[in-house]
Amino acid sequence: MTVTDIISAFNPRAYGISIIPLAIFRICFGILMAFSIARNWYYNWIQELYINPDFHFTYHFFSWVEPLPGNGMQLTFLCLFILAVFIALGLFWRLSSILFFILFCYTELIDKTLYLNHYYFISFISFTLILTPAGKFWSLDNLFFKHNPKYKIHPCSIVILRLQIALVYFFAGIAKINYDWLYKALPLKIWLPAKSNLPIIGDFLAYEWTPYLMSYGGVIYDLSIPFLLLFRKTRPFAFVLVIVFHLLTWYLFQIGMFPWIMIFSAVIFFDEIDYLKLSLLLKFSFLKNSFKTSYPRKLNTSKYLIIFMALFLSLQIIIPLRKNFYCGNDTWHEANYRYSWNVMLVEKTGSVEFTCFNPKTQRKWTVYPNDYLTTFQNKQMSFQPDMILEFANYLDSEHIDDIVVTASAYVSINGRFSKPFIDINTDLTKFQSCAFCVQPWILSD
Amino acid sequence: MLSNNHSSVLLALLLLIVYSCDRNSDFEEKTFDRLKMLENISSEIVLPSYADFLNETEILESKMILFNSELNLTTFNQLKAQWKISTSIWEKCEIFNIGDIQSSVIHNKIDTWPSNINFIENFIAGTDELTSDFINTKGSSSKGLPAIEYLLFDSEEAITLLTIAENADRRRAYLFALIENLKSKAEEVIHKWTYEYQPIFNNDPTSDLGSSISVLVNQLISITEQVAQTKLAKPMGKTTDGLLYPDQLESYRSGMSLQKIQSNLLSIRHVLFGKSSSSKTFLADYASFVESDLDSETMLTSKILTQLNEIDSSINLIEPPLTLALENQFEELDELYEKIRYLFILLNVDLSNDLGVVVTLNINDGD
Repeated sequence: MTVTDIISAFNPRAYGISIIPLAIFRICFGILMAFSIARNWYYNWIQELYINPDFHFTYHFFSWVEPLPGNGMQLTFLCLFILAVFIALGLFWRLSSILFFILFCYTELIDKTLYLNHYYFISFISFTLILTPAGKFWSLDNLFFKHNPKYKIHPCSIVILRLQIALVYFFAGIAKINYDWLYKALPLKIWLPAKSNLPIIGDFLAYEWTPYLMSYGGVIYDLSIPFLLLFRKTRPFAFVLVIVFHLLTWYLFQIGMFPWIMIFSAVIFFDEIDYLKLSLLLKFSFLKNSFKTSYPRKLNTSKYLIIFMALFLSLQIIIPLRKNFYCGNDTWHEANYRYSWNVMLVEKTGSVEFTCFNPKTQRKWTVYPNDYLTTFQNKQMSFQPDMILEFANYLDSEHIDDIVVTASAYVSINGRFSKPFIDINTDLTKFQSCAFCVQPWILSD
Repeated sequence: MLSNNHSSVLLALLLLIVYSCDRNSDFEEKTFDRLKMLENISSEIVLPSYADFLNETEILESKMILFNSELNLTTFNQLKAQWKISTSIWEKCEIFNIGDIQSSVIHNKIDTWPSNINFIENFIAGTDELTSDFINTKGSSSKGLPAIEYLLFDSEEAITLLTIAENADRRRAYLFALIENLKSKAEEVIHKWTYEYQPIFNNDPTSDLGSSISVLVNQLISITEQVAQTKLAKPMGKTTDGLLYPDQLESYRSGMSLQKIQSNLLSIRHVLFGKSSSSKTFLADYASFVESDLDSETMLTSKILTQLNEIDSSINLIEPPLTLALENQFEELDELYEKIRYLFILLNVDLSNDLGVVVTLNINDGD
């Protein structure tokens, strides 16, 4: 894929390309999502993360999002599972993809504690899929509703997905260009030696230079893999690298579905010829009718859709960059830390407790967050200032009188000795959450 | 086919890699025998603690038999003294509520505080045969060490209630059943550790979720948190209106609150540093090993040791029982509380960060 291909994909009239990569991507996405949703039942996360907590940390502009009462959350996840299966099968495609996006975002917006980079990734990929004709090929819709399969589509549907995935890697690589990662091989220096008893690669992990090798390897991988995947000649090699890299991260670290999602997302980078070769190699003769070669023909798409996609893609560039406009260490103050592809970037731990004071009654008392929050919520809040602030304001809202709420918090990053995190004299109730600023009460690292 | 030139380059690269991996080369392999450390913790700390507890419960049972045969103040006081020893030893075991032991909820059956005294009184007033089997069928709040404490220490009338009062025979029968049941749980817990969980514990050297190191660190944190929050802050009124709540002190009836805290802290010290006589490796040795690789300016383990020593000094300044100390030595107690809170930060924030341990026991789904 060349730069010209990318540019021409954003022309409302462009040469059509095969839908096969998009259809394969849709099937993989649906299967992975079904599996991912099923994990919520298996590990009892629906109960633990959505139903058990009495208090939820909300997102800016979405404080109105709350878990459904009764069996509502169980039902939501059941619907999500069914919708993911429908997506894989290409059944009621448009409706399934829209509902999946809405319900998935709903579950993610309930509690900030649950933020994960790959959930964010799923949110915008599922949104992008809505805009594509991914359900027009290898789908039950075609079978049941006698639609003709669509062999060629406007390239923007595929290119936008490729670029979004490429941006994830690229910004994850940029985030790793920092002092700790490159000069001190942290946090890998903490994580890898603890794995030295693993079979096969354990010995390798115990060497002093291994964290450095893997830190630099990680940066080079993240920064180069988008380009290696985009160019035809390097694509097979890149895909092998993708598999090796993500299987290694899956083996070494407990990062759930993320490695699998990234491995299977890479299927979008292959084109029709790659899949034709693969089907011939595997002797999948039943697929021969799927590959329709025809003279290149220009196809039209809505210019408004193209503009919308271009703007949406621009957002994917602007959002990770915004953290660079703030002073200080973003891994410490975490202003705009989310949505920036800071994946496995630091080992960060914290501890916080609150002191409340009622000036009217002169009463002073300590609040331990674990009396209100789950262990997981408490852990996540302990090093994230916006959550500490939200909880302080919640404590205030629990009282009829205006109370003063201060926080005593300590945070440690990458094995450094813990430091006070929040100005202990600041009445947090005097502050409101701020989407685009570093709060003045966060002490410097 | 590879040309000769390509083959030579590949061969040279291969040799370079092999040479790089040679353990005698300049590239140093840094290892710490975590399996050995876990074995040390298991054999030097966990098993002896559980064995001590079993031993003390056997003595407790013999003291109960003696009391049953000679209903007098001397045998009663011997029984009470032995309960104090047993409960103090148990506090050293509390930290090992991990893995299969935790899922079996056997710790709850030994020590769930506070007891539900209404249940206990109803069982005594009832007509059921009061045996260890009967106790087995009842909830944790009606049995174990706290229930025994209630029967032995609730008031100065305790001996009267157990000897000459109405229903004294059933009261003693319930007490005897509790002690027999406690002994059977002590046997069960040591059996579970030895034959069920120890082989798993000793053979999981990672820091992953649910690994031995992870659950141990989580327990160090949890016990410290419990001591600070539940055993001190709440009775001190820190979480409420500033008024004192002596009846929220653990084991306030027997006046063992402070000794129990001491035992908890001793178990933390043992897991981290071993017993003073031991030269083997324990959790602090592993933390020091990791730290040496992180170029830390201050050794965390020495800070933790200093903090534990300071806590000991503060405890020595407090005159038990804590029910009286709450009134008379509040400042000293407050100082002790602050020191334990800081120990909590050292463990919860710094130790878990150094060891890359996740402070929760739930599996997660990524980053």
